[in-house]
Amino acid sequence: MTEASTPLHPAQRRYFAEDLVRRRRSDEQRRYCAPQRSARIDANPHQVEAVIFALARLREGGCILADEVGLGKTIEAGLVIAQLLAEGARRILLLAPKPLLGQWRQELFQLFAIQAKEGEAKPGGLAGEGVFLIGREAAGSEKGREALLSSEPFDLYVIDEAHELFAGLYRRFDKLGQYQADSESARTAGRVFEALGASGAPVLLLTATPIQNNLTELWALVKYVDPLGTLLGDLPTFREVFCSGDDRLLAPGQEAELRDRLKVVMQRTLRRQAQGFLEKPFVNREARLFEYTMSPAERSLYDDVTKYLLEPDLQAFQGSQRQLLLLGYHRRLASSPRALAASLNRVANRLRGMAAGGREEQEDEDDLQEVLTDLEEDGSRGDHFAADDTADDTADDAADDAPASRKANPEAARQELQRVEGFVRRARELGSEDGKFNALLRALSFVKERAALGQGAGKLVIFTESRVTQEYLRERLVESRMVTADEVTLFNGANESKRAQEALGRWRKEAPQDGGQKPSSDIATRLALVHEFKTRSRVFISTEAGAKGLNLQFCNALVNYDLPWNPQRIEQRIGRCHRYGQQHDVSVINFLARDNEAQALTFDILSRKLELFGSVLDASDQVLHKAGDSGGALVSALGAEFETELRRVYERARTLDEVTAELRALRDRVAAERKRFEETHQRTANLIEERLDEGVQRTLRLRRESVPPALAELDRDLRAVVLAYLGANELGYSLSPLAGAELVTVQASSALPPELREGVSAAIGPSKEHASLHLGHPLVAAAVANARAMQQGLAAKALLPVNAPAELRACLGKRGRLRLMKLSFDGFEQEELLVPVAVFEDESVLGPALAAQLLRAPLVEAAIGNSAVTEAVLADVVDEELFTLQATVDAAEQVRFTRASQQAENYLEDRLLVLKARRQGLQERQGLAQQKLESAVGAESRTEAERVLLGVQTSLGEAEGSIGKLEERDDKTFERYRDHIQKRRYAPPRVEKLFDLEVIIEAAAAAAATEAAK
Amino acid sequence: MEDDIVLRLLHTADWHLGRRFRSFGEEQEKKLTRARLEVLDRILLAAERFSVHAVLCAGDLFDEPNPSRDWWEPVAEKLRKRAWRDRPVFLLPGNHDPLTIDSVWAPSHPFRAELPGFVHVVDKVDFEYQLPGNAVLYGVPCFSKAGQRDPTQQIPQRAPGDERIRVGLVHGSTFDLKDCQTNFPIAQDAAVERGLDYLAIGDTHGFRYVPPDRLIPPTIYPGAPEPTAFDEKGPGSVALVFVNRQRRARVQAERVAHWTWEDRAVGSLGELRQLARRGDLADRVVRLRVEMRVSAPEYEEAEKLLEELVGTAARQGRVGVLELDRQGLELETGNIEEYCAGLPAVLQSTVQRLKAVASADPAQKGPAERALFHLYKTTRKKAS
Repeated sequence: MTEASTPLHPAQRRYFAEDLVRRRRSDEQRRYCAPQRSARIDANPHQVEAVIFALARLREGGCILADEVGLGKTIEAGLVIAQLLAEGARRILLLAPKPLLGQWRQELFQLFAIQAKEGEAKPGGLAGEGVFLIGREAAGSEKGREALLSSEPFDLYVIDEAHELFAGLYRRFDKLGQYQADSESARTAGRVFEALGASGAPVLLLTATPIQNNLTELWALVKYVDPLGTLLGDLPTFREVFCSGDDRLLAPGQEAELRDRLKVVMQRTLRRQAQGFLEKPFVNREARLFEYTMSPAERSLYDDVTKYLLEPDLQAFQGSQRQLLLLGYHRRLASSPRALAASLNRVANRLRGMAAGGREEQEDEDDLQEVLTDLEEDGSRGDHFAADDTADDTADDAADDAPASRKANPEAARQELQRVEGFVRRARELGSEDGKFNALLRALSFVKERAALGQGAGKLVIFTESRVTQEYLRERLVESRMVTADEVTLFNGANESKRAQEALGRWRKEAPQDGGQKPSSDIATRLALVHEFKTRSRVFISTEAGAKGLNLQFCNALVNYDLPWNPQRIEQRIGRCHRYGQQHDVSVINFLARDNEAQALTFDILSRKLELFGSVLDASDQVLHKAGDSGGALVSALGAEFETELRRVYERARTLDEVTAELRALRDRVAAERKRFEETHQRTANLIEERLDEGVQRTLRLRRESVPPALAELDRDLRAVVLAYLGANELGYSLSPLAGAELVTVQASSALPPELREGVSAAIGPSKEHASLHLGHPLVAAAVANARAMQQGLAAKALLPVNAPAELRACLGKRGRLRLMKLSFDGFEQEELLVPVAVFEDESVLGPALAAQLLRAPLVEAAIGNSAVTEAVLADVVDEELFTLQATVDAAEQVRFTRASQQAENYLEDRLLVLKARRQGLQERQGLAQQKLESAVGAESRTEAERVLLGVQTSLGEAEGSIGKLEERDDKTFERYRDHIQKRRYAPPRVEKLFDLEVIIEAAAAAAATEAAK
Repeated sequence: MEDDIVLRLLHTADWHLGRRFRSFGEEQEKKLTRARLEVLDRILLAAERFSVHAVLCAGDLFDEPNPSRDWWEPVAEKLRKRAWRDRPVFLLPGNHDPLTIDSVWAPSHPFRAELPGFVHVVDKVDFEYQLPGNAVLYGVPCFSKAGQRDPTQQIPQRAPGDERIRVGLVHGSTFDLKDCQTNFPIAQDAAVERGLDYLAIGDTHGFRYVPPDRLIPPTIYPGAPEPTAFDEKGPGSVALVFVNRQRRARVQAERVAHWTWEDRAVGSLGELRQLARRGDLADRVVRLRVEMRVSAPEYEEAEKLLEELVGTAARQGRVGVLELDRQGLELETGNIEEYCAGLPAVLQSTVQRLKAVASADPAQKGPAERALFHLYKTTRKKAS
C-alpha cells in the first residue's frame, strides 16, 4: 500500500477496505491467519491446519476436530469462532460438559477477547447475540431442546468432548436405519441432534478419541456433521459394508476406503507429528511410586475392617442401598484413617439404632447420603462424571439387584456393634500413625527437591475422593510444618469456606475480568481458587470436583492420594496438569502399601495394563515400567468396564483371599481385553491416523512459514485502512512504538461511532498487553463502513512513480474510466473477488492485475471531468474480464464437486452392494425352496413348501425392485444430495459494481514539477 | 442497447449417447453409459451458471442415427426440465448420428415431438438463427455417415458491411490428427475464409483449437464431455465462449466430466502399492496391466492389492471402473521351496514336480504357478 503519509483517495480507501474484508477461501493465508490477531496467542501450525479444514467444511455441515489429547482443540475452536465473528456471525453456541464451562469462558476471554454468555435451558435462555455456553446435559434436556428449537438460529454449534454422550446417537436408530424419536437410549445425544439438525447450522465436534469402542460411534459423530448422511450411508448399510459382524471390527479390506471417507469430515494430528512445531513442546508423564509400610496396628485394622465389610448378611448393611453403601465404605477405608474412622462411627450408630430395636429405611438413605456427600457423588452418577450413556443406563445396577430389606435382628446387631466399636477404638488408638501420610511427606520433599533442580514450580496437586480425607490432609500437612496454612488451597464441590470467599475477592481484583455477564459465583470461585494456587499457595488439595475442567498446567506434580475405581477419572485428574501449555514432564505420584496384594493388583492393572500413569519410575528415577503411547485410548476403551468389574469383585468376594483371587483374574481379563482392544484399535484407530508423518510435517512446515509474512501483510493493510479513516475524517490520533508492534491511540471524538466515542487504543501487530487490530475490531469496522460511504462519480489523478511497471507507465497521459466490481461466489466455499478494470479513451484496456496496481499508486483527487469512454465500452470490457475470472475461480470448486459427486456415488454403490448380497442370499434360498417343493410328498407339505417358496419369491421381488430403483438413481437422499451439490457448484456468482472512477495518468515527477511551478 | 450486449455461448459435442463399453463387465459398463447421460445435467447447469445466450451441440450426440428410446427420451426430459425461454439450444446431427429419414432427427421421430420449443434441431443445410447481441448462427448438419464435402462451404461468406457476430456450427474432421477419418473435411482456415467469428465443430474427443496457434477467430473442438476411450487427449470439457462487441471471441474449457480415463501398466510391486494408495481412484476408469514376476509372498500381497482395487461382493473396489489385465503377473518359482519348507515331504515333492512343469511346458505354466501358489498359502496357514 502507499505510504501512510500520503492521504488515500476515497476510491482507494474503499478499495483497500473492501480488499481487507472480502471473503477469502479457507486456504488463503489471509483468511486462516486473520483470527490470530483477535486472539492473544500464536497458533501452532497444526492448529492453523485445523482452522483451514474447519472453515472449508462449514458450509457443508461442519467437521470433527480430533487432534490427539493435549494439542489444543480449544484454541482451534476459538480461532474458528473468532474468524466467524469477524465475518459477521451473530450467534454461536458451545456445548461442553458442565464442569468445563468456566474453563471455556475463561479461555475464550483470555485468549480471544470473546465475552461468552452462559446460556440456559429455558425459554429465552439463549436469546440475543454472542457466544453462548451451555452444559451439554442442560442442552440435551427436554427443556434444552425446546430452548434450542425456539431460539433464533445459531451460526455455529461447537460440541466439546463430543465422544462422550454424543457418540451414543447410533443407539437411537433402528434396524432399518430409521431415527427413533421416542427411543429411550442416548436421549441427551438425541435431543441435541434433533435441535441441531432442525437448525441446519454447521457443527464443530471436538474429541480426541473419536473411536472408543465401536465403529458405530464414529458413524454417529459423522451424523452430526454430514447432514444428508451420504458420507457413511445409513446405519444398516454402514454396518454391513464397514463392520465385520461385530461393530468393533472393521470389515477386512475396508481400511483405505473408510479412511478416505473420514478425511472428508475429520481432521486429526498426532502429537508425534506436531511435536517439532509446537511453541511449547509436549511433555511426558512419569509415574512416581512411593511405597510405604503400615504399622502392624494399622495393618491389622485395615485387614479386619476389609474382612468385616466382605462378610455376607451384615446387620449394618441391608436394604436397597446395601451395595452402594458397602462400596462407598470400601473406598473410604482406603482413603485415610480419618475417613475410615468416620465411616466406622457411622456404622456403629446404625447398629446402635438397630440394637435398640428400630431401623428405618430413611436412615439407610441418610447414611448413603453421608457417604456420597463425602465422596461428592449424587448417587445417580449420571451428571458430571458419566463417561457416556452406558453409565447412565447402568447407574443403579447395584441398587437393583440388592435383596429386599429384611427385618432387623437386635441381638445380631448388638454383637456386630461390639466388633465395630472395637474397630473404632483401634482407629482412635492409631493416633498419628499413618504410613501413607508419611509417604505423602516424602513426596512433598521430592517435589521440592525437583523444583530446586529447576524441574517444575515445587507445587503439588493432591487428589482425594473423600472430603474428610481432604480436611485431614490439610491439618496434618500444616502440622508437619512443611507448608503453612496459607500455602494450602482446598478445592471441593462446595467451596463455601471463608478462605474461598477471600480468594474470590482477590481474584476479582487481580485477574483480568471480561466485564460482560458475570460468571455464576460457583464458576467464579473455581477460577479464584485456581488463581490462588497459581499465585500464592503450594499445595492444592482437591476432591473429584476438581478432576474436570481445571487448568493446572503451571504445576507439574500430582498425587493420587486414593485411586478412584473409574480410570477415566484418574485420567482426568492427570489431565489437569498434563495438558497443553505444561512446560515440564509431569510426575504422577501414587502410594502403594507393601504386602497389600489387593492394592498392588489394582495399581498394576491401572499402570501397566491401562498405562494410565506413563512410564512408572520409583522415587530414585528407576524405570519400573515403560508405557506405550496409548494416549488415553486404553482408558477410554476399557475404563468403564474396569470400574464395573471392580465393583463386582467387592460385591462377590467374601474373604481377602477371594478378593485377591478375583483381582488376579480381573487383571488377566483386562490383559486379554487389552490385547483384543489393541488389535481392533490398530485396525480402527489407524483409520484416522494414517496421514503420513512426512506429508503432515511438510504441510505444517508450510503453514509455519506462511503465517508470519501473511500476518505482517494483514497488519500493514489494517494500519492503512484505519489510519486513512482517521486522517480522512480528521480524527485525532497518535502512534507509539510497542515491542514488535505499534500502538494507535485515537482521541475521544463525537465523530467516532458510539462505542468508540470515548477514544480507543489498539495495537497494530501482536501484543500481549493491548487488544490488536483485527478484522472484527470496532475501529476497523468503523473504517470500513466509512470507506464504503464514499460518494460516487469521483475522479482522480494517478501519479505514477518512476518505478511503476512498464505496462502502467505506457499509459502515461491517458485518460479513462476505472470500474471496481465485486464478484461473490456462493459455492462449497464463499469467496469474493475484487475486479478492477480500466478503459482509456483510446480504447486500450487495463486488466484486473494492472488496474489493481493503479489503484495502489498515489492517487489525488482532481476535477478532471468525464472521459469519453462510454458505458457500453466499459461494460463490454468488464463483462469479458468477469467471464474469464469466473472460469478460473472454478478450479477449486470443481475439485470439491468431484469429491462430493463421488460421495454421492459411494452412497448409492454401498446400498446396492448390500441389496445385491441380500438378493444373492434370497436366490439361494429360492433354489432350496424350489427343491423342497419338488420333493414334497402329500398335499399338506406341498402347500407348506409352496408357501415358503412364495415368501422367498416375494422378498426376492422386493429386493429386485429396490435394486432396480437404485440403479435408476431413484433415491430421495441421493437426489437431495445431488441437487445440493449441483446447486453449490453451479450457483451463478453475484456481480456488484462498487464504484467508477474517472482517471488521468501522470508521472509523479511531472506532477511534482507542476506543483513546484505553482 | 440490445446491440451492445456481448454474446456468451456454451459449445459441446460428441456425447455419443448409446455407446457400449463391452470390454468392461456389465456393471461397470452400466456406470459408464449412465455417466454419458448424467453429464448432460452438468452441461446444462454450466450454461445457466455462465448465463450463456445459447447452447451449441456440434454433432455425434448419439452414437448411432436411431438410438433406442432409453437414450433419446432422457435427453428430451433433461432439456424440458430446464424450461429456458431466452436460451436456445441447437442440436446438430453428426457423422455418427446423421440426419436420415429414419434417424432420431427426422421430423416424424417422436424425439422431435418431445423436445421443448427452445431446442432447435439443425435439420437443413441453410440453417440460420438470429442470436441476441446482433449475432447469427449458421448450422450445417451431416446427412450421412461419411462425406467428402466440407460442411463449412455451405455457410455463406460474410457479406461486405455485415457487422454481425457470425457463428458456425458443423461437424467434421480438420485433418490435423493422425489416423483420423477424413469424413466431412473441414478446412483449417474455414472460419477466416467464411468470415466467422467463432466456428463450433465436433468430431474429435479432446478440447483443442484448430489450428492450435490461431486463437482468433477460434475454431474449437470442445471434445467429448465424458471421455469415451483411453487414448483421448483432453476430453471431459465443454467450451465457454465469450464474444465481445468487437467480435473477438475468447474461449475457456470448463470441465464437466465425472470420469477420468487412465491407462496404466505396473511393473513392480512397489508401483502397484503406490497405485493402491492413491486417493483419487474412485472417479477413474483404469485399464491396468500388471507385468511382473514376483516371489510367493509378494504374489500374495499383489493378490490382496488387486482385490482391493477390483472389489468383492462385500465391498466396492477402490477404482471406479477397472479393466484389469493380470496375465503378466507371474510367480517366481525358482526359489519357491524356500517358502514351502513347512510342507510334508509328499507335498514338497509336488512342489518340485510343479516347478518342473512350470519351466518345461509353457501351456501348463499358468496352472502350475497357481497350484504352487496354493501350496505356498497352505504353508503360510499352517505356520500361523
